[in-house]
Amino acid sequence: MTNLEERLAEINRRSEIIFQKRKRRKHMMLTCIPILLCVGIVSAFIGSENVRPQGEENAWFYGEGSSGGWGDERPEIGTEYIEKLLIEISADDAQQMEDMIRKMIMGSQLESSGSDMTVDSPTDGELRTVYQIRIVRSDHETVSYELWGNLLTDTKNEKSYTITRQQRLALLEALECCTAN
Amino acid sequence: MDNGASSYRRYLSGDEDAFREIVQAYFDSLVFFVERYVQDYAAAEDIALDAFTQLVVNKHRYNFKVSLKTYLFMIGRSRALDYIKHRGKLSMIELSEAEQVCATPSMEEVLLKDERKLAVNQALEQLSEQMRIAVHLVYFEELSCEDAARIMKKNTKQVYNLLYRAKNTLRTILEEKVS
Repeated sequence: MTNLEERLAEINRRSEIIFQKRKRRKHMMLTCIPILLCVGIVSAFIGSENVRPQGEENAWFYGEGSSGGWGDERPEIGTEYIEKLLIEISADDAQQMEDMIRKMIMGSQLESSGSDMTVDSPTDGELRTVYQIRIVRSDHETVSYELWGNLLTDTKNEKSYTITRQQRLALLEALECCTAN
Repeated sequence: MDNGASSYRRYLSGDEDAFREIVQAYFDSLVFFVERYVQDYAAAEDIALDAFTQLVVNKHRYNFKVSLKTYLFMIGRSRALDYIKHRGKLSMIELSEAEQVCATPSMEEVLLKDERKLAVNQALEQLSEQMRIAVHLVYFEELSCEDAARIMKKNTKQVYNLLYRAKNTLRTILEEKVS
């Protein structure tokens, strides 16, 4: 490329390409930024809708105004994950279930305090289910218990009882039958 | 002599002919300088075109604190080093092509009509790259040591040292050649 005109033409061609690229980039920025902003705002809005506050969650689990369960003094469980399950039993099964639980409580050992509770410690990351059992008697009176590992708690007097593994399995089986019905 | 700064000022104020003057004045010497690094005429020409394109697309990047020639050479050096880094300095060439290349007058031969300069240029090939570039900028392009230092990204003292060592080495080479 010895000709001056050729050199100038090549420089102009290259400059034009760079200008075009810049123009395209600018256009893309102007188009994409409002879209990205909209997507960001919408996703942030959806995100805030889906996150339920902790207090609201507890209210759902323990019942509005209820002081049952361990409340805020629930012992720390480390890294395990807890699934909360509410089981309500009424009608024919209510009496049967209450009798079963009472029998277990009578035969079990009363735990002295919260700090002495001996719950089977789950392995890290294991999903631990806490069952809240609400029994509605025929006279509409309600009693509730919580089953967390091998600890059965009467939420009325906040007393916890240790039950055996067999009793726990039997209780879970009975609960499953009740919910199936 | 402002080494192109006034022409570039005219170009910025809309005079298209000023750019033509700049290309005419500095294109060949820039190619010659870049070729010292890349050892390939086609690549050197491509890099020089890129350097001039930068003058067009980044009009306000040049701050007029150095001469336009120095600025162009700074761009050329930076691009040449990038080129060497990405493609490697050595390239294979067919023997028949090499003969053809040797038969046509090289860029150096066209520019260095002076026999003495041509002899020095041939001796220059035996110097290290840094010495070669310093000698090229100061003696061939007739730039000041300060400008050469700016282009080479060194301080002036280092350029003086390079030139001193280069002169001693060149003297030995040329004396051997004469004898």
